[in-house]
Amino acid sequence: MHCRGHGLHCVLPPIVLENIARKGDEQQREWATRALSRDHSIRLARVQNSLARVTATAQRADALVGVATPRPARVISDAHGTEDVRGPIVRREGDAATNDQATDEAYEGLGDTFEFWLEAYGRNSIDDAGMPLRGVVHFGDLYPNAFWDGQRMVFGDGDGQVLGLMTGSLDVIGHELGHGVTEKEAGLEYWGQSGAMNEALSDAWGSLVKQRKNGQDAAAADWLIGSEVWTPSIAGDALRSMKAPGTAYDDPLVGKDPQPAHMNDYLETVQDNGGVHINSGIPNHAFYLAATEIGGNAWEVTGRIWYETLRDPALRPDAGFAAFARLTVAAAERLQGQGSPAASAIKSAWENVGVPTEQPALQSLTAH
Amino acid sequence: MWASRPSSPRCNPSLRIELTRSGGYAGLTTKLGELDTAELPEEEARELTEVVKRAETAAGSQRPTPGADRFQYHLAIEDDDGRREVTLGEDHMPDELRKLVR
Repeated sequence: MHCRGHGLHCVLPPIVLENIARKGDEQQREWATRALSRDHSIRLARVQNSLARVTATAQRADALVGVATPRPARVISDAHGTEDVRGPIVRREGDAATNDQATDEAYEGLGDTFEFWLEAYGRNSIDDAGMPLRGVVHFGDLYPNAFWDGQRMVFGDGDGQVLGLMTGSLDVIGHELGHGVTEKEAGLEYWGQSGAMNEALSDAWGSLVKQRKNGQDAAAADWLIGSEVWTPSIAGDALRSMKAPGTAYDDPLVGKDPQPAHMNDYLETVQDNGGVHINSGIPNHAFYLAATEIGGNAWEVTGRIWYETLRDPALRPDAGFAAFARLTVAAAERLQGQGSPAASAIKSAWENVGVPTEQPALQSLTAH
Repeated sequence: MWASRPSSPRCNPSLRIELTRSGGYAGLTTKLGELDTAELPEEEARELTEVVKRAETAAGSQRPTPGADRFQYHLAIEDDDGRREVTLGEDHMPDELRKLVR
């Protein structure tokens, strides 16, 4: 295929470029990705493309001319204090508010998160094919947690002593939905470094959903995760800080934020799936450093590069920090150009947290 | 099997456990409690011994819990066989054990 000439991307429909970017050989993919990054219709194309995959034939023509806009399909269930995630449905898409705080916060937060993915990256829901957003509220008895179970986002009411309603922070909802996106794309294994990378991606998406909703650029954002879920009695700003890992809380009851900001302080542990919520401080901080150095809205350049890295077929499920870091540099060079300020900012961000972005040198087989 | 101590006033073997929870969205590690069969009525001591045995078996055969941000439970066990620790995913944690330690 000979389509490396200048300007050709202007006449190829974005869907064709998308296919080349996904399926072409190395050179073709690089060319198509560069062309796409300059093409403002990429977002619409992705949406149309994914919509065309899931809608009936009769609707497909409409979708392809851009008539239909993807809409969320939210379904909120109430576990009524049990651990059964198949409780009665209390609010479906389009239903009026219920006056139950957790139900309405989950509904609104999932809507904001859906809109973030669609408008920032042209992604149509968790699977990019319009997957319904299933939320479960009032899960468990004073259950102090929120999680992604592989199909749905589940929220507890908190224990009331340490943690309150888990739907109270938009970034918690963005974080849980983000786990779904990571599972559908790279399937990063939930253990050790790949698990901590998985966590860091969810923290980044959660924070970006909040930043976009609040209209905050990288300089204005607080970069805090879960700033509304501590009860008032706990001395802490949030659960985690991407800006200053290790400083989010310091309290006699729950202790001090254990997150490291540098590989020197990487914690080896069997708890927390090998410290996935602890060592995520390292890639979290790299994201913060890159986003603030690049400037502007963090979801536009830095977030986009992280997202393209997540979608890179070269990202393996067992990827550690360094493997992810190398692919962010490659994505930055594809999207922003080699030697671009963004690519340099990302390289130095990883260096600052002690994660190398250069391939380790191979020992020469003929050395002796 | 649990070896009984000849010197024990009861037939129950001595068993001490400590249960810790880690992980979850907040990533907090919380010690949930500890129990010693020597301090329990005979019936409860026997029940605890059985539940712990089941938890150890479950830990050996568990599959990874799907999803993310689930809790993990760490059960430290000390008896005549020595001290060991098993990790249980939320889905594999016996309800009776959660209730006993609460």
